[in-house]
Amino acid sequence: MSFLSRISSRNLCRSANSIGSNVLTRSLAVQTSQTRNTDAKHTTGNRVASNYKIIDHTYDAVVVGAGGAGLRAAYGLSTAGFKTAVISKLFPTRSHTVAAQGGINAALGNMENDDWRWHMYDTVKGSDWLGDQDAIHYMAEEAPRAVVELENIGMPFSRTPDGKILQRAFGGQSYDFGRGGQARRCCCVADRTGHAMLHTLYGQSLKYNTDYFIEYFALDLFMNQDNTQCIGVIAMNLEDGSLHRFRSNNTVLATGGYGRAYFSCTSAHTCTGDGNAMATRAGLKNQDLEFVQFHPTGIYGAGCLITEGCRGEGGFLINSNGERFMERFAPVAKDLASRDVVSRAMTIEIREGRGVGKDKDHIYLQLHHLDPKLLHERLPGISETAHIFAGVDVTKQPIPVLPTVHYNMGGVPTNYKGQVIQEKNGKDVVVKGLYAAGEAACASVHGANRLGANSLLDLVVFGRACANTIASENKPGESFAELPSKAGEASIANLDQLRNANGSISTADLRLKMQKTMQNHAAVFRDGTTLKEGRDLMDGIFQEQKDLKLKDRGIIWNTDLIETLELQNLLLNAMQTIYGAEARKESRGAHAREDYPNRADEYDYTNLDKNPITNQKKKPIEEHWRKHTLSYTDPDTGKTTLSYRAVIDHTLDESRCKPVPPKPRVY
Amino acid sequence: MTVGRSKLVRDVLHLYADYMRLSRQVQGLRDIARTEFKQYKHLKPKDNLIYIEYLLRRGKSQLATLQGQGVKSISLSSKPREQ
Repeated sequence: MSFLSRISSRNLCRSANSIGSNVLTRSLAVQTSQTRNTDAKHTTGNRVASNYKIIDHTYDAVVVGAGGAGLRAAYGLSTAGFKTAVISKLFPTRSHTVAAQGGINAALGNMENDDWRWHMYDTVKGSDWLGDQDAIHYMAEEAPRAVVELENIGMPFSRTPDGKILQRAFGGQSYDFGRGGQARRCCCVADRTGHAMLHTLYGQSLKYNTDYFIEYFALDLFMNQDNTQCIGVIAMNLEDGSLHRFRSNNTVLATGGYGRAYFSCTSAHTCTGDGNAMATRAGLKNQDLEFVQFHPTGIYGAGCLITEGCRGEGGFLINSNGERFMERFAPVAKDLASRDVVSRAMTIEIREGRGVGKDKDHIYLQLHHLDPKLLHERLPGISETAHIFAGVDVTKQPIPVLPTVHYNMGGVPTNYKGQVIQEKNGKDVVVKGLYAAGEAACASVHGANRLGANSLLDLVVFGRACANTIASENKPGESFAELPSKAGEASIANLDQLRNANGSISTADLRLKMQKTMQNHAAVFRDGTTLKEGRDLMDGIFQEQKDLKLKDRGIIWNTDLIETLELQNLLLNAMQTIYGAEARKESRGAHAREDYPNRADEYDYTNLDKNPITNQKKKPIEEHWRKHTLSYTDPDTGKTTLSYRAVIDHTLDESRCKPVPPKPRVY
Repeated sequence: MTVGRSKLVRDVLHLYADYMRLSRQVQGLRDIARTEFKQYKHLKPKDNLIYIEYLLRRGKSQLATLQGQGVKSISLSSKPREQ
């Protein structure tokens, strides 16, 4: 009889497929009096009946995320004969890879003579010696092959007059181990490389026998009894609210980063760190989350990205005096210094009062000195972006830019093969059945700072590496034990609890609070007091999750619910980021602290002529900071713990590539 | 009586038959599909035409999902929470 009371309190019931038809609303009003209210669209304060359909699937391999890394992994797995499922909360071509502009680095040597070992050196230096050199060796050596493979499957690279792939200059790249000047190593497709790459990969993926589960939100990982093996994933079909449990011995996480933890970022609204949070809830630790890259040129206000390729083609940054200030901060590389160096330089200029605009709070990027034909041919996308979001004509006016959150160097820790690792008693232990690739992973090739155009390379190289590792260690069609019948209960309980949430703060308000806190307390320049304050504020915000209020009680396309799940994921990421940042008492790469402005390595590398290593005593790992942070946040209590793991300093093969010893990082 | 069945009725019956056929491969589908079809059995096309068509569409798309190569079984979550 509660049904009748609910009808009387409801004026009109709108169906999910409403076309504004009166017939529909009338017929629904009639039907609700007779059937159970499983598709309730409005809260009436009562708990909704929760009897979800659970569909079990079995696959040889499951890939979570259909961006560059996910599609490349799926392509590799399908060609190896594995029955593969790809789960994505977005349509594949809407993944954030599509927004990447710059290009892919590879030592093809089309412009000048090039060597992949120089690329490897540049990447190690760019990472501020926090990158694992075996993974960097692997990536730099595989790069030319990966790019040629992309070209062979139809990616429409820009071409030189000879017909070879055009390579442009990009930040942080040099020839001859830094001695040979600016390198032109970035293979590009005008300034829409990510778009071309994702569409090429998607087109390729349709040829193979992969099952796509599009608009399925992956909720959690299934682990075995002692948390040493991943045995599957549970996902919710957004279209009809059914839950799907995927049983698989090989799961690849390729879910991207969590830019949306900050107020101003270049990321899409869907970049919410789902993979990192799934790993946290599975009891795994994430690595190096405090390293958040601020891209120097995001449009002031809108946050949209203006690619580094502009500076590669000859554009430069100017302050209010019209001065090309990067010449002071990076005498050799100037505007093509590493991104963290440029972001810091811009922030210093603004703080010292030389910013432009009414509030003197941003910088200009000047392109109008370049040939308009070049701008039209090589940078059409940003010309349009600047026109739409900043209202400037790039051939006549400079673009207002500001450092904006762009990339997360941290993520789920993996080895160079793409297998997820954890640390036990000082040794790296592989988590069986779990792999990660792309921005969600931390291989770690980017270390403390990522060089531009290395991310798209990271996607294809490690997407392929995951597929190869799975193919080498498993056979298609292997049989394995079923999931326990109660698997996924916790996820369902969480879903149910959120659907019925009736607290006091809405998801949007809590999210804004978190974003503003992160933006104010964990930005380009960080210091002890602000980080501590931010940490305490984030603790409070994390607890406020229990008080969320959701208005939509339905199960079909309940965006309120989805955004709340994403907020839960973002909060786990944000907690680990700010705790890691507060604990790391040094400045390295993108993590710049005003109270600890120097790098704290195991030796003092700043003056090796006067103070060589042989004269110094090596500091134990507890006393220096050249180590990876491993962080874990308890999803229920919010308590965050940190531990550390050593950086891998040896390469895969010393005869093919020598490791790069640390030294001062100047551009 | 086969004469006089409208297209709508035939579509619903064909969909039911498809579900029953599929339930041989997917464990647990038979009972769930039967319960769900029974739940909407009383709907009259005169009053609820558009809703019935929506349910048909939904049923067809869920059938397509269940026909996927990896599907093994279907069940209901064990805790129905009522008011």
